[in-house]
Amino acid sequence: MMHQPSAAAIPAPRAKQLRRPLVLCIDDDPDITLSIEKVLSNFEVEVIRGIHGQQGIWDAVSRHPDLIITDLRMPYGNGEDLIACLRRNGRTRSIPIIVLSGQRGAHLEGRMKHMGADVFLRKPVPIATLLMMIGKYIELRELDHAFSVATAI
Amino acid sequence: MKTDTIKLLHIEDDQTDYQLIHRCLSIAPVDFDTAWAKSVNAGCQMLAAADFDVVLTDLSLPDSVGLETVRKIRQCDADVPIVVLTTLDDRGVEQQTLEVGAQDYLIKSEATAHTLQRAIDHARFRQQSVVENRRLLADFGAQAEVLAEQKKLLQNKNRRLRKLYKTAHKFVDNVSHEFRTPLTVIKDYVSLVREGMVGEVNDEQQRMLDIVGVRTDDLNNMVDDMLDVSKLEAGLLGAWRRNCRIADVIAEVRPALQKKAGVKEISFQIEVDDDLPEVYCDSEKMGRVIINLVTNAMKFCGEPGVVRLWSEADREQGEVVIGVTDNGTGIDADGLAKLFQRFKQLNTNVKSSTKGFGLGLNIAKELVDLNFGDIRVESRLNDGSTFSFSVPVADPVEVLRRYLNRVHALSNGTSHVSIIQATVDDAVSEGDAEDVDTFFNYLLRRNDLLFRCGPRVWLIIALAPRTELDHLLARAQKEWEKTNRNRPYGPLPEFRMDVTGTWCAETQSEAILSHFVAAMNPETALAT
Repeated sequence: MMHQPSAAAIPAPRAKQLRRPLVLCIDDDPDITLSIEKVLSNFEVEVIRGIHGQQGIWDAVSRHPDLIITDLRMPYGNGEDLIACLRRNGRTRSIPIIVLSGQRGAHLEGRMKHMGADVFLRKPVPIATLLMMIGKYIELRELDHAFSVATAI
Repeated sequence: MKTDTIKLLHIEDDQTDYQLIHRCLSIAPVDFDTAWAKSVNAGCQMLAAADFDVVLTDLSLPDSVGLETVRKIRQCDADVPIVVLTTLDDRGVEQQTLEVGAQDYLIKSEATAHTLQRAIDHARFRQQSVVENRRLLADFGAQAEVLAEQKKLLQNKNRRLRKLYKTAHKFVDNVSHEFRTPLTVIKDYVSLVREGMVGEVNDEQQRMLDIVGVRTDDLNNMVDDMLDVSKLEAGLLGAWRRNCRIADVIAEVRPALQKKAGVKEISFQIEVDDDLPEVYCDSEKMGRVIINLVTNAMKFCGEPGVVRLWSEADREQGEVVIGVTDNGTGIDADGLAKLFQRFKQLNTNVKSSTKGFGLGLNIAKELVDLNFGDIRVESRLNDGSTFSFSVPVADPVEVLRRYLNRVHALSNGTSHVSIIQATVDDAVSEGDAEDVDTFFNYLLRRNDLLFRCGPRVWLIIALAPRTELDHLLARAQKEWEKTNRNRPYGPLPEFRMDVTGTWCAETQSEAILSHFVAAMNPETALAT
C-alpha cells in the first residue's frame, strides 16, 4: 500500500547495507537525469538513467532500484503508464516513486498519487527539496569528498 | 343607432323557414345584407366568392345532414362565425355543433329578432376571439421557431468558442511546457555550479549565479502566470483544496524569495507563527499568490528596501490573513481606488492591467478567490503598502459557508449543491482507508469539496444539478472498478455513497449548512 513513511529517513534494510542504494531516474531529457546524477554523486548512491517509460520499466524489473524518480511526459511510455505498470507487477509494486514533472494542473498530483506515486514534485525543484524527498526513502550517506549541500539558500 | 351592415349568409332549403328568419332579421335594429343558399355546396361557393360576417345554417340540407353540415362549412371557411338554426329533431346534437365549429345554436321555432340578433352578435364576438387566439398562437409558433433557431446558433457559437479556448489553451499549455523544460535545465545546472558541486566557486561567481537563478525564477513565474491566464479564459482553472499548513507553504516558497532579496539587497523578514491553525486551500495556488505579492513588493520597496511577509490568525472571522508589507513610496489615491474596485469584483478581466501593477497581481486576486478568500490593499503615500489576503481556517462549516457564497462565481449556471456521505466498512484497515481517501481526492471535480469527518467517513459537496448526480455516482463506481482492475494485489475496499440531499445554493444555504452540520456529527454519521 502507498503510505508515506515517517519524516525521519528510513535506514536501508539490513540486506541492502551491503550495497549502495540504487536510484533509477527516467526523463526523456538527458540533461535532467544528468543533473540528478550529479546531485547524488556526493553520496553513496548508485544512479541509473533511463530515457523513456519502456526502458524505465525494464530497468525497474531487472535492477530492482530502491527508488524511482520519473518524469511524466515521455515518448514510448509516459510516466503514468510506467507507474501503472510497476504497481501491477508484484516485483516492483513497493518501489517508492517520486514524480518530477514540468506539467501543471490542479488535479495532476491527486491523480498521480491515486495511480501509486508516493511524491509529486513540480519542476524546477530546488536541490535541497529533492534531496530531502530522496532522503525519505533511501539512506543518503555523504561521500568523503562531498561538497557541502547543507542548504540551497 | 345605425351600425355597419352585417353581411349574412343563410343556408336553408325550406322557403317557409327562410322567410320566417328573414322577417325577424328585417325587424332587427341592425342592417342585414342577406344572401340565400339552398344547399351546403351552394353556400360554400358563395363563401368562396365573397366575405360574410356570419353564416346562419339549418342542419338538414339536401346535400348534408346534422354535424356534417357544420363541418363542411368550417372546412370551406375557417374563420366565419356560424350560428346553427335547429329544430326539435336536432335536440341530441345541439351542443355538439359547438364542438365541430359552430359558435351558437338557436331553435328555429323560438327565433325572434332579439334572440337572432343576440345569437349573431355573440357568435361574431366569440369567433373574433377564436381567430385572434389562432393568430396569436401562429405568431407565438413563429417566434418559438425563431427562438429555437437562435438558440441553435448560440449553442453552435458557444461550442465553437469553447473549442477555440480549448485549442488556445492546449497551445499555451504546450508552449509553457516547452518553455519550462529548458528553464528547468538552466535552473538545475546553475544551482549545481553555484552550490559548488562541480568545483569551488568564489563569492563573486556565487553572486552572479544567484542573479541568473533569480532571473530564471522570474521567467518560470511568468510562464506559470501566462498559463493561469489561459486557463482562466478557457474556464479551466481548477483547484485542489484540502487541509494545509501555512508554515509548509511558506517553507516551499521561502528559498527562492530569500535568494531574490539577497540579490537585490532587500531586507526580507518572515514573521509566521508555528501555531497558526490549519487552513483549507489549494496550497500551490497560495504559494503562487505569496510569490506574486512578494515579487511586487520587492519591485516597489524603498531604498534600502524592507519587505515583510507576515501572517495572522483571525479566529472570529474563521480565517488566516497573510500579508506583504513594503517600505516603498505607497500608492496614490487614484491607483488605490482602481485596485479596490478590481479586488471587489468577481471574475474580473485578468488581462486588463491596473496602472503599474501587472498580470501577477490580477492573477493573485483570482487565485485568492479560488481559495475562498479576499485580497486587500492598504497604502499611504511615502509610508509603503501592504497587500494581504485571507484564507479560511480548516473548519468545514466555515469553508462550506464561503463556498456557498461563491457558488455563483464558481458554477456555469447551476447552483444546485448536494451533500453526499461516503463511508467504508469499520473493518477496513487504516492503510486501506488512506487509499480510499486518495481515491476520493482523485475523483473530486474542480468545484466539489471533500471533508473527512472520521477515519472511515467522508462528506462530499458536489456542485451539480440533480440530473448530473446519477452520472457522478456512476462515474465513482466506474473509476472504482477501473482502479481495482489495475490492483491485482488487493482491491480498494467497497464504499457506500448516500446522497443526503440536493438544494439550491442561492436560496437554501441555511438548510444546506444545517444538514451539513448534522452530517458532520459522528453520531449521525454512524447511524447511517
